[in-house]
Amino acid sequence: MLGWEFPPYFAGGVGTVCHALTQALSKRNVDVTYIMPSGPRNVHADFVNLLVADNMIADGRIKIAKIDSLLGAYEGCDDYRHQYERILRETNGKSGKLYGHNLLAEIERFAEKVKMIVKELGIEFDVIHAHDWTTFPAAVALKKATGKPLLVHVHITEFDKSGGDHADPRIYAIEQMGMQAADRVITVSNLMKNRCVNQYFIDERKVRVVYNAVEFNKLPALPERFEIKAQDKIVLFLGRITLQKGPDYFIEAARKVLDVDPNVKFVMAGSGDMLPRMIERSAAMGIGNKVIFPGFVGREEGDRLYRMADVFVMPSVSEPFGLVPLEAMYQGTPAIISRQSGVSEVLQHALKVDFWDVDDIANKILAALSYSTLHKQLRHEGSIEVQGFNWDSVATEVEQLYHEVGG
Amino acid sequence: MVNICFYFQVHQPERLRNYSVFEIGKANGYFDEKKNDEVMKKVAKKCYLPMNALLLKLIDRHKGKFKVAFSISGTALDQFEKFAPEVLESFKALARTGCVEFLAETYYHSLSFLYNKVEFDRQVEQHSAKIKELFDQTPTVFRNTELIFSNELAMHMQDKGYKAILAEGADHILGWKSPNFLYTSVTAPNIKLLLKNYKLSDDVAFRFSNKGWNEHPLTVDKYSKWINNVNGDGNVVNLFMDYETFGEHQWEDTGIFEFMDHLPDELLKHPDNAFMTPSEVADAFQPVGALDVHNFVSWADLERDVSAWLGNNMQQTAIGELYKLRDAVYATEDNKLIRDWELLTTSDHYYYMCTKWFADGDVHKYFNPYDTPYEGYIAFMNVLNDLTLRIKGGPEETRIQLTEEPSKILVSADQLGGKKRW
Repeated sequence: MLGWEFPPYFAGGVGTVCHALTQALSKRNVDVTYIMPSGPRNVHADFVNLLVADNMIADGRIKIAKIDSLLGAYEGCDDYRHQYERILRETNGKSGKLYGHNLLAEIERFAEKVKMIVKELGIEFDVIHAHDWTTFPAAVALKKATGKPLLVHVHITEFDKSGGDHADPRIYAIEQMGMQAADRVITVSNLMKNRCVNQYFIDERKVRVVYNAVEFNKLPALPERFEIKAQDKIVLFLGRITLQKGPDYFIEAARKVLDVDPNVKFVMAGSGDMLPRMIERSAAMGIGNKVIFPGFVGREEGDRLYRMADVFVMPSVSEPFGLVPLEAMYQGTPAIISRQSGVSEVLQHALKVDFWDVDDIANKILAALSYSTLHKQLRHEGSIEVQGFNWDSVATEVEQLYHEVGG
Repeated sequence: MVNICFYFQVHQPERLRNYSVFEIGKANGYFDEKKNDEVMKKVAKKCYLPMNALLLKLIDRHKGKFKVAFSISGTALDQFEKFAPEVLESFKALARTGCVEFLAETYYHSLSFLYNKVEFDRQVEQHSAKIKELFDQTPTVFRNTELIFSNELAMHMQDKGYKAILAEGADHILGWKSPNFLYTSVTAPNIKLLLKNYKLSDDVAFRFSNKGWNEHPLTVDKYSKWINNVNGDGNVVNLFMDYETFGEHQWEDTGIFEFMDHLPDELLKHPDNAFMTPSEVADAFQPVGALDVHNFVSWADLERDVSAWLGNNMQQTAIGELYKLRDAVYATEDNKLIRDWELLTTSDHYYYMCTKWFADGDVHKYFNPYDTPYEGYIAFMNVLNDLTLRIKGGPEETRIQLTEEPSKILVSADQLGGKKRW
């Protein structure tokens, strides 16, 4: 399996998915060797043979005669990594800055390294499973070298990240090349499947939808008393504050809700390039004292926010899957989700809205806050429903696909 | 001999719009006229018109030997008048043949029997008056919404002078007994019960086009044999189904119309067979036993109970709050307001809020104009909040207060200008 990240290193969305998926596959006795480009020395997981390409090379476990010149830039690569992390922090992953020439070079280098590592270590495998475009060149090179079947797993495409209009043609080309070369394309929703078929012109017969799941490694915490709730009800947004996540629709809906019920506070957790504008916007609308911006929150804090909130809103403009509402529901908080998200294809016990329909978002927020029977029903049914989103069933489906391609 | 008793249910609800919280206090129209118009015109074209034409042809062809019964809800009749008057005319033509019986039900296809008997009686009377007006018949046989039945209903309808009631031939009320005989109720010995033969009914209504069914395709020949097999072991085969089975649930290309076209020919080849209407069955036969049905039974879902409408708290809250407003609504003597309230009693609104999808999900989803049951509940409760403000005579403050217990806003009769009639 080829990935770009693995927790705790770059614990972003896809990394989390790879972690959970490899763990669940190992429970099904599927041996997974996971190769990623770079990471800390101590990265380790007992359920997967985890190989960090840079470390392998730096430790001398891999001889690098052939591509010395390229790897001469190893220092630069490290710089790149720092830069990557810094930009990731600052922009929360907005594509423009993040994926520059450096990254394209890095991707090609990773492809070379992967081929070498597999050869030098004599790694045996039956199937290549590659996550998102950054690993596609490596995956395709490996397929060519070994003749093994290839599955590419599409978690997001350049179209989703760029809002559709400014897709980077170089990235698009790599994505398309990977999907074309693959024996199967796994997408995380029908939304993504249609994207692959309609925007990348991939034969739909080889595209399979496998929905993501959630890692529930602990029980929801006991009810907690939140001072802020003595007077006000809480509506929560949690995610990157970028165009893709629709934060502006959340603020617009907040104003409409407050027109009807002033005893509501809106928490917009996360960071991103649209954060300053959102702060300005809420102040300009005269609801500055009603909207709270706690900035980026970690998993623990996030879980607390879910529990504190009376309703969670995900107004994403485009969301390949969308794990956050499942996490909110797991903590017993009803979710309002945009129909333009992959998860809305499968989630029954959530309120659904069109992200642009601010009136309807406000309408549903008010209903969830005011109609307690509705709130209880969503809370009860929702917490049962999310249990069904478990990685064991995802691993079963993925393993089935391995067999399908002859692995 | 075997008698075949066809009863077709015709119903269309007046569906609600997605009434928004921001419309509360504005008394905008609650109902989705556009959608209701569209659905009515579509079903008229696919089902009501072609099927009525076929039935008229069959009655004509068999010179009075082919008979059927209908129960048509008041909300469907009103929408025929409004959106598809030609459908109403075709039902009138069927009525004039003398071979079609119209049954009694609640005007609004409601669950009023479970919530308010006074309202129930009003709606049944309102419906009978409409049937008399349109079809020149006074119904003598009753069928409750979705065949909901119990001992209590049997008693009630006996007191009202009805001769028979239609009910589901559910296993749990029949046990080893056959649905192909007439029964009575332990609490109402004068009432006769016609029980749906759910197997033979559902063979047509649900399984007709199901390619996974081992009897598929269902031919006239095969089906007639199954019915003839009842000969000697029953008086009547009650085939009760939604009228929309023909052309809407089972599309025209499944061959359902050809099937119905030839079925009477085949069945009437047997000299002992006859078609009868429910009141004829009630007059012709005596009950072979008395049924004791303490809990409500219906024809819905696998459970055959009322859980499709009242199975969760949202459904119970919504309907409970609606009925709490009843007396205050009538006290306003505002006919438009009363009519809106009545239309909210229609059972479909609660059916849309059903969350027990997983076993019966397909059927529920097919008929549901909302994405999720929660949306149905939100629209309904927003409407109820608006309706409450209308009872009060409009919002007193500019700010509306959204509540799940709108009845509590009606503090005293003084707010209604001293009208204390309820």
